[in-house]
Amino acid sequence: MTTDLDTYRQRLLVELRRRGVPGDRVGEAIAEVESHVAESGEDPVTAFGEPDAYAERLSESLHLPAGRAGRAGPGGRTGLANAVVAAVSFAAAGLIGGALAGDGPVAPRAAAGITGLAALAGLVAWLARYQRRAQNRVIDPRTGTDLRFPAPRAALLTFAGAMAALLVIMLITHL
Amino acid sequence: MDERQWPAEWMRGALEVCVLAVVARAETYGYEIAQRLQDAGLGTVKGGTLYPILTRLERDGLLTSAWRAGEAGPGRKYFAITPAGERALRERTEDWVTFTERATTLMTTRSSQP
Repeated sequence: MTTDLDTYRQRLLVELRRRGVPGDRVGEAIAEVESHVAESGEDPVTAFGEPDAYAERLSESLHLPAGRAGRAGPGGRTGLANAVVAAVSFAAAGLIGGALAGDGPVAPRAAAGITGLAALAGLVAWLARYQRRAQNRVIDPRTGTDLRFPAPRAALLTFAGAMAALLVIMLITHL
Repeated sequence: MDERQWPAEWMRGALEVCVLAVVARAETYGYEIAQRLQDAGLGTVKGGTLYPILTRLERDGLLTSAWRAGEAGPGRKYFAITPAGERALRERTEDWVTFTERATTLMTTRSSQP
């Protein structure tokens, strides 16, 4: 029952997003489903139908402007975000790589390495913030806080873990 | 009241005004609205039908809503009718009565005009 509800919440979120429904309305819709099935004891699919069909009906009743359907999030800025991520990653990798591989005085190399690491840390923080904004935050109307979904957090942890592993490998191969 | 289901196209025509009428009686939440409709003999109304109607009525300014915590569970969204909603309910009810009277007269009158 709870896993069914969790799955339904996730699928409804995706389907409403796909139709450009704003985050606060997505939060309302998910809270309505939770509240209703808690009272009726029904399975979410029995009460509300498949998430894609229900999302379609809900977005119709919201009368969203035609252009909003389609991609969720600030699509126009995705290209810029990719460019920034690529540029900072290359610069940071260059700095760290140079610091590890180069010879000469230690102090400037250490400074370059630390700058590179700081740039990477900043990039990770910025990506997390960008993702939250791009998500057009789904607000739980009952608490006024973000609705919690496990998936994005897991993705960010995976990303951070991969970066850490990469650094460890670089350090091992160079020492 | 009997448990029969009515044709979907009839429900589409009547449900929005009926939901307004239920909320006009007393502030109430989604599941209870569905219960009231069923008690009135209109059949089972699923959440997937009801909430888009409530969403539309709220978007049009005929209803307002507020979340309140229940004793247990995930809370309830209470709906209340606005002055615009009261006006809309009066007008649509009058129209509905006129329409159904005319339809009933037509359906039940056998003798055709000469």
